Parts: sequence; C-alpha cells; structure tokens
Amino acid sequence: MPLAIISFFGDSRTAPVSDADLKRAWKLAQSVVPEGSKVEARALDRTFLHMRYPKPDGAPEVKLNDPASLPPPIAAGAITVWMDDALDNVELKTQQTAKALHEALSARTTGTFDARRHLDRVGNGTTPTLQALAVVERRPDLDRDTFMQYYRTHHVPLAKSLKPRFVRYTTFRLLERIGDFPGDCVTLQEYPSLDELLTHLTTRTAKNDTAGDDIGNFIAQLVYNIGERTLVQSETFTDKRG
Amino acid sequence: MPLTILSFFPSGSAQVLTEAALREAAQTARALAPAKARVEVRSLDRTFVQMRFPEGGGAPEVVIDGERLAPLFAPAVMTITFDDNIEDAYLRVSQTADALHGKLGARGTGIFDGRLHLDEIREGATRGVLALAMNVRRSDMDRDDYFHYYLGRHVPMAIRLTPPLVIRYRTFRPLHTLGDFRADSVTFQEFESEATLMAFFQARVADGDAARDDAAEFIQSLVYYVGERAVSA
Repeated sequence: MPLAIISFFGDSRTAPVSDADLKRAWKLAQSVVPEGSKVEARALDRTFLHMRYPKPDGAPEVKLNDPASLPPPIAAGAITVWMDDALDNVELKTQQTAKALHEALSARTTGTFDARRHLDRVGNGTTPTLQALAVVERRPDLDRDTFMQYYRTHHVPLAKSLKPRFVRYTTFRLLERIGDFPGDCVTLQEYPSLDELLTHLTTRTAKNDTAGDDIGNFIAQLVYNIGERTLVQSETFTDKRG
Repeated sequence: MPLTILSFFPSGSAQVLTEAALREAAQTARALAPAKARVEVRSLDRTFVQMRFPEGGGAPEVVIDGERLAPLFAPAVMTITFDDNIEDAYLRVSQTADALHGKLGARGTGIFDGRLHLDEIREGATRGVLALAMNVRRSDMDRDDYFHYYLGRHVPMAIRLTPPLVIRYRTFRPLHTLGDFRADSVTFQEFESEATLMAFFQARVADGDAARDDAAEFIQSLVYYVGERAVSA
C-alpha cells in the first residue's frame, strides 16, 4: 500500500466538527495534495475506548463507552491522504504535502505513515458507516520496529481469526510526525454500525479474551476515537447517524 | 514501491560464490516467495569504499580500495520485491523472510520499505555493476529524522547530480531485521560498467562535491560493496 498522511485538525473540546467544516477541510486538503492522491475526511466525534497498561504484563485499565470518564478525541477530525506511489520523488512530495496540509488545516498534529491493509470485505463498495481510529502507543520496552513486527505478524492474524466485527482493518506505522502525535501507530477499523463496534470491543475487553489479552504484549496505551461521518473522494458524505 | 526483503548470505563465509551457487540460492528464494514476487540475487565481490564523517564536521575519512578496507559483509545479497496487492502482504513478507534467513544460512536479513528513485533500466534485464552501501546515521539523529533528510533532501539532490552514470538508484529503510544487521539503511546504485562506477566515485569523494558534503549532514559512516554478477528467478 502507498504512503499515507493523517492530519488531525480542529479542537474536539469545543464542539463536534460540523459537516461544513469537514467539507472545508476536505477541500483544503484537495488543494494541497498532488494529482493522483486520494483524500478522506473523517469526523472524530468522541472517544469510545481508552485502554492503558500501567505496568507491563499487568491488568489493563479499561474505560469503554463511558462519556463521563473518557477524554475528548485527539482532534475533531482527521484527513487521510493516500499518496500515489507512482509519483516521481514520492517521499519528498509526501513530506511537502504533510507540511502544507498541517499548515493549511492549522492541525494539531500530522504524521506520515507506512499503511498496510489487513482485511477488506468492502472493496470499492460503500464506505462503512462507523470509523474507529485508534492512536496506539507501544510498550516502552519495545522499539518501534519490534512493536510493529509483533503487531502485524502476530496480533493482526490473531485478531482476524477471532470473528472480528470490523469489515476493514488497516494499520499505519508512523514514519514522521509534525506536532505532538502521541503514538507509534494509527489503526483504522471500519464497522457496519455502532452496535457492531460495541459488540466487538465488549468482547475484546472482557477477561480472558485471547486477542484482548495479547494487546498487553506490545501496547502500553490505545485510544479509540470514533465518528460516523466520512467524506471520501466522491465528495459525498457517508453519514448514518439517523 | 513495495515491501522488499534483503538477505545477506551465507554467514561466516569469505568465499566467492560460484554462478551455480547463486542460481541455487535464487531457486531457493523462488520456492519460498509468493508467485508474483520478484527474486534477484547479486554477488558482492569486494569492499570498495568506506567513508566516515567526523562528528564536528570537516572532511570525511575516505578509504578506496586497499588493505584498510573492511572485509565483505557477505558474498551475496538476495532481493525479493513483493507485490503489495496480495492479501496480508506484510505477514507473507515476514514469513518469507524468516524462512529465507534459515534456508540461506544468512548473516543478516531484513524487511525493508524499498524505494525506487531512478530507473533507466525499466523492465530490462538486470545488468552492470551493483554498488551496495550500508549506511549508519549520525548519532545525533533518530531514524525518522535521518530518513526525512535522506529521502526528502539528499536523494533528489543526488539524482540531479548522478545521471547518466547511475542507471538505477534504490534505497531501503529497515522495518524488521534478523541476525547480524546493524545499518540504518541500504542503498543500491547500479552502473553500466566498472568504468562508470569508477567515474562516479572519483567525483563523489573529491573535495567540494555537493553530494559528499551533504552526506555529512545525516550519515556518520558508510561502506560500499561492489558486485558484478546477477541472477534472477
């Protein structure tokens, strides 16, 4: 998969990003990306899960679907840019695009990533309704290479084997950051509905869940930000909030 | 550019590998790799250039040929370039790297983000001379900063300076390594002939060369190995 940029913009502590703001951000992104790029804008309406391991190999602290105790999302929205790998000097153009995007959006933080898609039951069909964008922080005793290797070659196959409810699963390994991006990786899980997400995460955070227990082997903290509005290349909203 | 495996083999050997041994290794890799992966093995015949950049700046210490050059890291390098569109590409690459490392008795094997910056060969058969550099970053840079500078600044500048001598230019950023592999990146520069290789390096090591001076901004040391034989499978 190509190089990708994710830019987190807008202050999530004030108000959810409006449809108009999301569209404006998407158009701004379109104006700075090279030809052949694909741009997606996602609202991050709330934090749904915060999982933290205070001690390696200890039990996690889990806050799930509890608005009163969960912090606001990292930002009000996220722009994802998929770079065209066939571009000449694509690495330089990715750097330049990330910087331009960061400035144009007055973003909180922007990262460039190596993106890998592990599951896709959607193909070119309709973008799934519910987007869960997780910021993932590695265990401090692992370097980023070891962390990603474990994640992609052990955890991902395990998670896929246990009847997941997500229909698309992509991991983004951080290559460079602008601003204060607080993790080592972004994980995007896309679900058909909020109910499916809730079912999935309730299972994963239950005691003795195999995939849930595996998380502590490589992750120190993860935060799921969710949203139900996505603006994709066709400039149409996928919005199933009712 | 897709995920790439580089495997330096065999371990603990200073011997020159025969054509038959290179072909056998290529067949071994072919049997392990997914169908659409591209397999290529290159001999590494000698250490060619070493450069070390002093921390406080100033001219680098350059060793070209001669007894002060380090021994070869390994007599050959296997390159497997993957088709990124296969399902769960990263897992398949990782499984292939593990198996390949064992089967080849390799000294070091890595999974890399391979980037093709210049290609005058296109789909033509591999030919000519490979100069393979193992680079170590400056100690005051982390790897992200190092690649930011390398790919964002140095490569575009170097490419402006290199044609027509370099006919293909690739860089490899390690994502995961096995065995004894300590470099922060690997560079492949390919040349039509020994003569163009020599002309290139004479320019690069000369005082005042822009690319050499720029290398000091992010590289602490580098070693070039040269090989002239290639086998594809």
